[in-house]
Amino acid sequence: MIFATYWFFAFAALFLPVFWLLRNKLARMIWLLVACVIFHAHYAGPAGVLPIIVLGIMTYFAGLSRHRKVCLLGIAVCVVALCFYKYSVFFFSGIFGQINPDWGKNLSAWTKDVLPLAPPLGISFFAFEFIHYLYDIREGNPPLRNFFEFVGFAIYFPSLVAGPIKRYEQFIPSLKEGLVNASPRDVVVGLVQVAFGYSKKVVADNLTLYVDTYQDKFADLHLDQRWFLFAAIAFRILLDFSGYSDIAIGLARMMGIRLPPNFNWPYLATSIQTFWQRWHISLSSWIRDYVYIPLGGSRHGYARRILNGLVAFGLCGLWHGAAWNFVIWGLFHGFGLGVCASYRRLPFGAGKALERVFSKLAPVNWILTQAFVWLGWLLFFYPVDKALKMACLLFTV
Amino acid sequence: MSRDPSVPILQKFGHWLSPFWVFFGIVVGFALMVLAGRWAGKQNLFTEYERSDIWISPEGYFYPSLNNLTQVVRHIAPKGKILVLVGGDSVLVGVGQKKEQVWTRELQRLLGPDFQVINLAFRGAGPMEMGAIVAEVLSKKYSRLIYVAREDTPMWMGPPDGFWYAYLFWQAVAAGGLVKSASRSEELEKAFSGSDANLREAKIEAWLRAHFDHWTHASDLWNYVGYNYVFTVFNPLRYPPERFFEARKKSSDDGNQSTGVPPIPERFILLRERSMELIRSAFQYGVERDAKGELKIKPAILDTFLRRARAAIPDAFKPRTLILLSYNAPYLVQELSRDEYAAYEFAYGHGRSWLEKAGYHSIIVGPGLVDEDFADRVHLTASGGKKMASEVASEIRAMAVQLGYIAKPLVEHYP
Repeated sequence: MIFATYWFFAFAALFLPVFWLLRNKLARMIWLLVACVIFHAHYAGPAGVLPIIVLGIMTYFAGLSRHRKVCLLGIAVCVVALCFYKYSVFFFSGIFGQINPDWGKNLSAWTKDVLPLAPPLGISFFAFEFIHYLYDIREGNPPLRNFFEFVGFAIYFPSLVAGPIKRYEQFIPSLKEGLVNASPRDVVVGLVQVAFGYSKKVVADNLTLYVDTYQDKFADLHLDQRWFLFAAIAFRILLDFSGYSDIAIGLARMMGIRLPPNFNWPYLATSIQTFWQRWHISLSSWIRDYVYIPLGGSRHGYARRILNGLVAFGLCGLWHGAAWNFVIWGLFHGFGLGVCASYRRLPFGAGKALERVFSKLAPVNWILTQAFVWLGWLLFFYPVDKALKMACLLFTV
Repeated sequence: MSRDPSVPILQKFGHWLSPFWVFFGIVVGFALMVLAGRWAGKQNLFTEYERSDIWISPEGYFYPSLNNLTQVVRHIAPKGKILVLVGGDSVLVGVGQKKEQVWTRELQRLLGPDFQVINLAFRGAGPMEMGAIVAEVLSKKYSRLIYVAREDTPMWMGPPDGFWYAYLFWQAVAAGGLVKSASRSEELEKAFSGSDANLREAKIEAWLRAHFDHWTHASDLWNYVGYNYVFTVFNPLRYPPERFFEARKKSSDDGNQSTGVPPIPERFILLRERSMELIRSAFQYGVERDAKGELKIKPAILDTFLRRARAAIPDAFKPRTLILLSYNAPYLVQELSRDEYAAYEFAYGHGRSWLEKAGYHSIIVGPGLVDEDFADRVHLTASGGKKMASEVASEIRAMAVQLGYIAKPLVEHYP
């Protein structure tokens, strides 16, 4: 958790006052870029910085070309880089290994020799932002001609580690605005949001400690303790992730820069659709715009719509981590969205009847939605068999 | 009205925030917290202190600060007495003994009123951790001080800032409370400039955290509130979890360190394989046979040991430091083969002599201990604790004479 390190406190304490004191736009921009480079180099190290430099330069020039095929090639390179660094071992051992264990073993060993110990810092975010950039240029949007603006977009330190995933069309105007007009009110609003974020992190870290302490003894806990741990799992991820986003968004706001929102009370959602409009908003909208809609979205009939949803959410799950449980969690949500979108079509008037019931009983919708989401967290955090066992134990005395 | 779309609550209330008053509030609030922390750091939190337990130790997610620990000593030990600070690990905490049977009470009784024994051992702490730091910091106040610790594996010595309890070392560094030691500085510089980026990062974090803490007294305030009013109290050593929040002081020293000891042989069989692994590791770590089949200490281990032993405690304190090596339960040791047993004895014998060559006092506790004295592989029951206290008391008296703290008695007499 980079934002909770003392190095980061010291870094921010040095960076922000100088940023505010500099009144010249260019000087602010240079200072910001220097800070971003220092931040990235410190936390990612040379092995983490180099691939991002290569990808960034490639993306910048591919964008400048405005050539559809070059942009497509750039997108493919970003996808391959992401797969290589983050998913090679999973693909080789989790997929090839199932087909031919010897191949899987050899290929996994080879990738472990070739790859750094950990994927480059923030590779998932870099890849998604670069893909968005090239995709939008391919669709006719203008590229960033100013290289420094592109660097600012690429390695803007508040959003570098855990998002939100930015869109350059919104970010660059906001960056320019911040460089000129960061106001005391921005600083205060940002500071309050940062404070909210750190408060959430304190609670989340304590819940994490609780979960880590007792999760292996889940079956031995009393029923009420199992439910408490279940709730702790759900709130830990919400508070941890939304806290992190709050810190990132608040820090940016302290520079007068607006980052896109990432969470909006997701545990108040009364349907799976609205949950995904409130949870990790920058990711879900990215998946919608750059996976679901290009796949055809809801334009090619009902069955294709469901299939597209499953593919999009399967990828969304995989984005969270290179393991089967993340894929299954994504498919679980894709399935949930499919059910939500289709239950009205149930025959013999059952669909209509259900729709009438749900429209009148908002608390029931909320309970069903949250039960679905919270049970999904078990799939997210644990292997499937363990998750199912834990889910059963919630209803077993 | 603020148009911030990211946080609804700020959307609603952002326009009410006056920058001036928010900044003013932050500055005043921060200053008040620092003042409160300074005050809290001067209080003795652990008023009924006997030894560390899971509620006031890092393994129970409570990190007693340097001020917390030095205040305990200041409140218990009058200045004129010879201060015997017991550091080290779980064996010296008295795991296996109830609070009222803890071996340091017996040690106090044996040493008599000229001495003040305080048990600052923490489970898993090495000789240079926790108690050692407090001893060093308080050495100016208590000129007559003897420090006792234990090392589990002969020929092993941890890094100068320790493992599990490094935070206290860095707090002492930030407070400027440590004595200058060239060998220690040299060892630490190696860690800071070494090729292991994660280790370097961890050291930098520890350094920054300790300095932030020193200026703000955040740990002192946090511990004061947590100990007296509200803190999370779930704990890996307390199962099942009873509560989530409670004042730490409400929990008593009855953690798993004093729950009933099973009868023999169950107490040894329960973790037999792991215990035998640990017993074997005691000699496999540092001992090997040469071409002629003679036992010898591995040269690389000896080098590391000597370097670390030099750096662990400043030279001026080594003559005041007693490091115990303790034998394992005979029930388990007898399972070693003849060759293994020879290596085991060799490791302990040489471990002790190399500690002495490095400038420390050292004894091996345990030749007189029988199975009933052990609660498990290495922890002692009340009877074992008494025997250890007796052996340690003799050595402390001898050290006190050597250091000129007390006159040499004409006739050796122990109560």
